[in-house]
Order: sequence, then C-alpha cells, then structure tokens
Amino acid sequence: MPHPPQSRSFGVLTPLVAGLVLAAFATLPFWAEKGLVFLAGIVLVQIVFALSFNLMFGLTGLVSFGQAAFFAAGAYASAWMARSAPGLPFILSIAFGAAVGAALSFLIGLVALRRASGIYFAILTLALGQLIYTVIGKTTALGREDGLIGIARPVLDFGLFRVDLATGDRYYFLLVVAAAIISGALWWVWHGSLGRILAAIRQEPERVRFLGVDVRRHRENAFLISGTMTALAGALMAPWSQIITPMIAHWSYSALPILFCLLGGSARFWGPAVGAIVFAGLEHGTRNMTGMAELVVGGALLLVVLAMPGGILGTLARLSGRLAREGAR
Amino acid sequence: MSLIQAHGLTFAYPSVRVLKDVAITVEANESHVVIGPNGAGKTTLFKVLSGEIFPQAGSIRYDGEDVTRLDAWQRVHRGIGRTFQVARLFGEQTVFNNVVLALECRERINGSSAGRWWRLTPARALQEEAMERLASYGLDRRAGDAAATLSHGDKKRLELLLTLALHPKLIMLDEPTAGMAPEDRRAVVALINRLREEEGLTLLLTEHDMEVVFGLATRLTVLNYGEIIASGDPEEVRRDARVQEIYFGKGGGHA
Repeated sequence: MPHPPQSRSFGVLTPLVAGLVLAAFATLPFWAEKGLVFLAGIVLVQIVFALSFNLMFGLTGLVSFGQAAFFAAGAYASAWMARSAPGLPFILSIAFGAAVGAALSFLIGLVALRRASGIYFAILTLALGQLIYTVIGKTTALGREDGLIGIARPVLDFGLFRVDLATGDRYYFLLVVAAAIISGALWWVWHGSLGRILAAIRQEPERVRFLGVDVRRHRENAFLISGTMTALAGALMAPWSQIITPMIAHWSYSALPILFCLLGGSARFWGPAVGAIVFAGLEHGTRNMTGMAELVVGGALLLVVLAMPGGILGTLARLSGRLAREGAR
Repeated sequence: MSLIQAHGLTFAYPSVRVLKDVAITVEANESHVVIGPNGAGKTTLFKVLSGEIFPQAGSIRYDGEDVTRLDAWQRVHRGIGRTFQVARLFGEQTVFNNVVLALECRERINGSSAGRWWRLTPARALQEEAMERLASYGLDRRAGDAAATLSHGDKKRLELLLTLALHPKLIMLDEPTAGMAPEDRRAVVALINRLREEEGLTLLLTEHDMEVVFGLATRLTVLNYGEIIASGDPEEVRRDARVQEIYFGKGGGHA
C-alpha cells in the first residue's frame, strides 16, 4: 500500500526531550535548593493546568476565559473535603475536587456552547468564571476573602504501610508522578480519534457536521475533559501550596494558561508545557531585579509573541523543517 | 418513489423573505437541478433541505420520515450528503487524513468500532480504503500534501469523495462545477451521470452553467425570488413562457 508521509516535525526528538525534562523534574530535590523545588511543584501543576486548557484552545480553537474557575473548584472542593472528613483517603478528596470540576464544566459548557461563536463562548466563560470567584469570596465555609490556610499534606494508607507525604519532598514526588500520568492521558486524547475530530471541527465545523458528527456535543465533551483535568490540577496544588485564596479563581489567573499557550505554541500538544517552564524560568531569573522584573518579563513575552508566531515550538518546527529541506537538497 | 417531499417551506431573514411557500419533490434516482437567477434562494433552499438551517414554516419528509426538525448531522445519518459552493476541507491536514477522517465518521455512524477506541492511529483497513478511493479519483499522488494546496477543481473532487465515503443515498451538490475549466466541467458531468446510473444515487444540484445543466438534469426546477415557477422535464421547462421571460429572456439574464 502506498503510504503517505506522516507530518511529524520532530520525530524521535519529542519523546527524548520529554523524557529528559521529566528526569530533570524527578531528580530536582537532589541537586536544587528548597525554594526551587517549591517553584518546580507549582510549575508541574501549571503544566497540567495549561495542557488541559489547550485541549479546548489548541484543538477546538475556543478560548475559555474562565478556566481558573475549574482550577479553584478543584482546589477548594478537595481542600474542603479533606478538612471536613479528615479520615477520608487522599485519593477520594482529590476525586471529589475533580468531580466538582466536571459538574461545573458540564453545566457551563451547556450554556456557553449553545452558540458556535468564539466571542460568545469567551465572554460567557469569563462571566461565569467571575461569578464563581465572587461566590467563593463570599462563602464562609471556604474562608471568604482570606481563603483556606494550613491545608495539610496527606498520609497515603496502603494497608500494609503508610506514607506520610508531609515529610521531606515526598509530596513533590507525588506531583511529578501525577503530572506525568495526567499529561500522558491528555496526550492520548489529543492524538486519538477524539482529538482528530476536534482539530477538524476547528478547521471546518460545517464539513464535520456534514460528515454526520454532532459538533456541539463534541465541543461539550472536550470542555468537560478540559475542565475536569483543570480541577484535578487545582486539587493537587492545594496540599502543595498549603494555602488557597480566591485569587486562583480570578480571571487574571485564567490568563496564565493562555499566556503559556501563546508562549510555547498552542498548535502542538507540548507547547503550553514549554511555555509554563520558560515563563517560570523568566520570573525566577529576574526575581532580584527590583522594579525591573516585570519590564524584562513583559518585554521577553512581547518579543516571543511578535517575532515567533506559533510560539517557541512552532518556530523550532519551522526551523527544523527548513534545515531538513536544505539537508535534502 | 419520492425520496424528498417538502411542502410550504418558508424562510426569511429579518429584512427579506428568501423562500416563499416552496414545495419540491425529489424522486429516487433522479438528477434534479435547481436553477434561478442570483439571489433566487437556491442556496437557502439547499440549507433548509440539508438541515443546516431550519425553515420558519413547512415540512420536509425524507424517505417517508419527517426530518423537518432534525439537524444536519442527523440527516447525514439517514443518508443525505452535501457539498458546498466553495469546497470545505480540512486544509491543514493531508489529503489522505481528510479521507481517513471521513471514513472514521462513517464507521461511527454505522456503530462499528473503527479500530479499538484507545488506538491512536486509524484502523489499517480504513487507511487502505482511503488510498483506494484516492486512487480512483486520481488524487493518490497528492495524498501526502496539505489539502489547502490542492487546485480548485481537485478540492471540489476531494470534497465529493469525502461525501461519497459515507455511502449516501442522496447527495446535494451546490454548484459542483463553479470556477472550473470546460474540460473539468465535462469530467464532472460524466462522473455525476455515472454515480446516478451505475451506483443508483439520487442527486439534487444547483448549477449556473447551462451546458452542465442540460448535460445531467433529468428534472429541472426554476426558482425565482423565492418561488418555484416551473418544474418538470428539462426540455419542457426550457420552453415554458415564464421561464423564457425571466430567465432566458432579453438581456440574457445570468445563466
């Protein structure tokens, strides 16, 4: 059978680099100082956050401006559950956070995806997200404006033995494993048959409709997966930062994954992860430049967005494609 | 047997009524061409019949079933296919992947598992079928190219191929030869006639080119300002006095 070439720009390079980055994260506590380990844990959560967001943004082309609402829903729901039922296994409080995120994204998806317009979706997710921000800030059980503080890191009970995640860097290692598993699951959705249909819907929804596909239902499903995974990221973060405030539901927090996607490149699965790591590196590298940090970070972002359409990965792919063509000449 | 029976179709935009009480019947295995001046409502009629938009009044029966309130994708499940005036393809994807996607959609409609659900790549049988279908349309040499890079005529052929991949009973073609060179037009006429005669398909078309119209129509309907003014055997319709006046009449109109 004459088989057409697959359009894979990086070939074997992608799993290689992904493996190296994973190894760097996994070994970090052995060679880096404590502050950096904490930052790396936050970055891991943000990578999951941004990859989940990009399932909607990169594949279906719809921008959710209220994604932070799902992140906060997962964080608050799991922290509240862990506090209300201290004996509950950790996995169940995390699952509760994800379930609340799933219910919320299902309901918001029903409303915001009624019309196929991108601006309608963006405004409605923004409005509903801000509504959730306000509700959290006014709910006494969730600590109102002060948020929840002193969230305990859990003890994993395996029956024969117990692992106290409060000691040492154990919770960090849990974050590495969880981020790797969730990213793997999202990778599979992106590249599988659902991902292919979603990408087709972004390019030509009417054609997909006339191939017998319920376009709205598929968008709703994508939003449901995206929201649930985002809530999972939030649920994982609460015991790490040990304090959560309503700011994680604020619209400005929804801007973070958008920024990571533009920085790394939304057209590729790993783009947002690259964006999150580069952004954290920029912030960390400029943390001592008093008053100048925002200027340097902002300038660097502006440069990438203006000079590198398609983000860092998009530009790398173009360059490597050019090299390959010249090599073949 | 009538495949489509539509009555009283009315569709209006806020400022203009596009379809006024339109009735149209499409018999099985006919090649039914709808003509009319620009703005007569041909494309709107297509949209209403295919389920892209819903009429404000009227009913549509397809194959004995009332489909008036069914969305386009549900009508596709019942065997209606549709192409657009300007071909709609997945431009960033390869020509090959366009066809594979259509075949996967067909498998979903049929309820047969297109490979295991956790698989990342499409089933091998579908990949082979895609290459065979491309070869029969002379598009196999372009299989690895992005669909956006195809010529205008090839895009229209690929879109027809995607539509046929779903094994429709009725296909609706909106200006299938628009923007094509004369020899490409003749090829399309031959292809459409072959689909009807050999594969038993039913066709509903709009078309501007009169050579194409009379090359493939078995029934001709003339739409003018949202109303049907004549419908029947192509030669009889051509001789109809009103059609002569408003369509073929003085100044030539827009053929």
